[in-house]
Amino acid sequence: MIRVVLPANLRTLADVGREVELEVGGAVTQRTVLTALEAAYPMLRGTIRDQVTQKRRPMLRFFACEEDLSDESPDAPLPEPVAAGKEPYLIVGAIAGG
Amino acid sequence: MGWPVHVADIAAQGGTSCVGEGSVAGDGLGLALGVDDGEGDGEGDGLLLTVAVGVDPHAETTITAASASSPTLRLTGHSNEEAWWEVTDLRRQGTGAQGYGETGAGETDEFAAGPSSNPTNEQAECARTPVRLYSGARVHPRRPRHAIGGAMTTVRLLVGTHKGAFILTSDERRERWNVDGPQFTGWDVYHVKGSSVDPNRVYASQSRGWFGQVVQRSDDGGKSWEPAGNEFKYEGAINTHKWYDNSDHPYDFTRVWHLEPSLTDADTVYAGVEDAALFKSTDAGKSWEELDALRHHPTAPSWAPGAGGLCLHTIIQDPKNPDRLVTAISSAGAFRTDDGGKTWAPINKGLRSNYIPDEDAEVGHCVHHIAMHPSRPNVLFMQKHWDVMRSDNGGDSWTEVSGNLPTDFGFVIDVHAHEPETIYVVPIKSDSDHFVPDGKLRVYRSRSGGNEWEALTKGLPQKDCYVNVLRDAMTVDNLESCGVYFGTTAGEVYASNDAGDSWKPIVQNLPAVLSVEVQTLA
Repeated sequence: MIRVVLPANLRTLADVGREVELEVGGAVTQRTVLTALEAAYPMLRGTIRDQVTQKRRPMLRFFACEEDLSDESPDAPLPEPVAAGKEPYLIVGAIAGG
Repeated sequence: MGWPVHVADIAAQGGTSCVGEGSVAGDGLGLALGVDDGEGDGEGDGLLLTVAVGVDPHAETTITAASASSPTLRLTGHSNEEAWWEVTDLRRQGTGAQGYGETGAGETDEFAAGPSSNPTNEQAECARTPVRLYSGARVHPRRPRHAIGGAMTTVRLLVGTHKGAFILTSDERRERWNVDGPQFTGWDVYHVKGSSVDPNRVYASQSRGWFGQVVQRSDDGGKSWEPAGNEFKYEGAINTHKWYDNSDHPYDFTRVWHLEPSLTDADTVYAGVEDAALFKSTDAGKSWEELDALRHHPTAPSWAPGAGGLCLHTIIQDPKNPDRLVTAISSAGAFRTDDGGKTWAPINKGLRSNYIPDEDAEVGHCVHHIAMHPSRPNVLFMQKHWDVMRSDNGGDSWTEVSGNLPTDFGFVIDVHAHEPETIYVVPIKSDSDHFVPDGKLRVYRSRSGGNEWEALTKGLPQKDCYVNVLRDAMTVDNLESCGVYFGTTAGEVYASNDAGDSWKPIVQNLPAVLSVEVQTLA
């Protein structure tokens, strides 16, 4: 199971806790994880990546294993501890505003 | 022993309408109701009795009435005039009783009820003992404008704020309000509006700079919500509009500013969005289709955003012509379609904007809001960036009606529910100082459709007040004594239940209020 940590506003929207677990078939990449996440929680479509372009929304970042993966290829394999379910994939909202 | 009760109306029954007060007696419930049959000739007017439920806001009320097994009502006339009575059985199940009686002053009348297979109020708990009904003298001989068949009217306010939505409810007296929320905590809720076809169907626009747009839908009047569709995809080629520096900027969807449920179908709803476009859903918000002829109007490449963005914020449906829609865009102006959105025309003739060199500019006007009374769809009232305007020809031309307003800058404008020439604005100091002038929160009312305005201040702060009232943050209810509501950027919602003569805050310290809509529920 892939573990995904959501920012607070998206937890409220999806009515879930801090972390969700997902089954991801095949290669574990950012694209496949986000696709599985949106399939399990359709209300999240468009809130993390643009529905048309599939681009990451500008004020969100993606992290795993203490690395910023935001600008990595969405099709690059995620670190093995994420694929093994030992470490979570983190979706983080930018600290902005006051 | 008893307690006073108040019933707004039972006009749903056979065209007869009534409003009045009565008393709950120790052995039952009686309501003395003034009746107006609407003929205006006095005939058929009088007292009307009905048996209602839930009219005491402070206690559970069990209603007793005549039933088939105990079909007798005793009616006691207290007034000095003869009265006739109508009795309606409100049994939940089985046969009921209804009929007519008559009594004189001080007399007691026995009423033998006949069976009815059509109970009028399923909420009633009906015991099988007769009740004693008192007429009393507290009758309002006024003609109500709303109907509720023996049940209480509920007024429901839908309040969108910068950090969530709130739902405020009251009975028709509008004195005590229950505040429920926040819903969608932490999100901007630009607009919440219910369907007039199915008042339990409510749509909400939830957005956040981080996470984009979500449309929420409720089918139980806002108690529970379900995320609907959030894919707002512009149709066809993405054109450009002007950016603040006059460069060309591609249209880019940001959020839904305004949701306008259809007047005829609860599953159909319009969405006005930023960057300016009009979308329509016919499946209760699951999917959205752009009515793209508006965004492809030849003037669209010249449209430029106002300070809040290039937003389509006003959508008005003509109740007499389903093919006519009026929209307003900041800061492009007002546009109208007469063919259901296939073609659009700017309707800005007569608008003057001092930042536009061309006095007769077809577009470029920062229209803040437009209001219409449903009985007169050709009469439109507009609060522009500066200037309050009116049109008597569906927007073909406009004349200024700012008159004696202390400042004609502002955002909101609305029309009295029953007086199409009575309009309301909240003047704001200026486009650079977005707060009320002189530290005084004043609603201005015109009873002449503009030009002559009176300040409404009773109950509103008259010193040290520096709030704004945003474009969708005023609304009116449909009760006989028209209720007017508005929300401020300081998180207060003010209400008047006397058409603006007096006000009081019904909730304070909410997040900044973005929108206020009201539902008058039977």
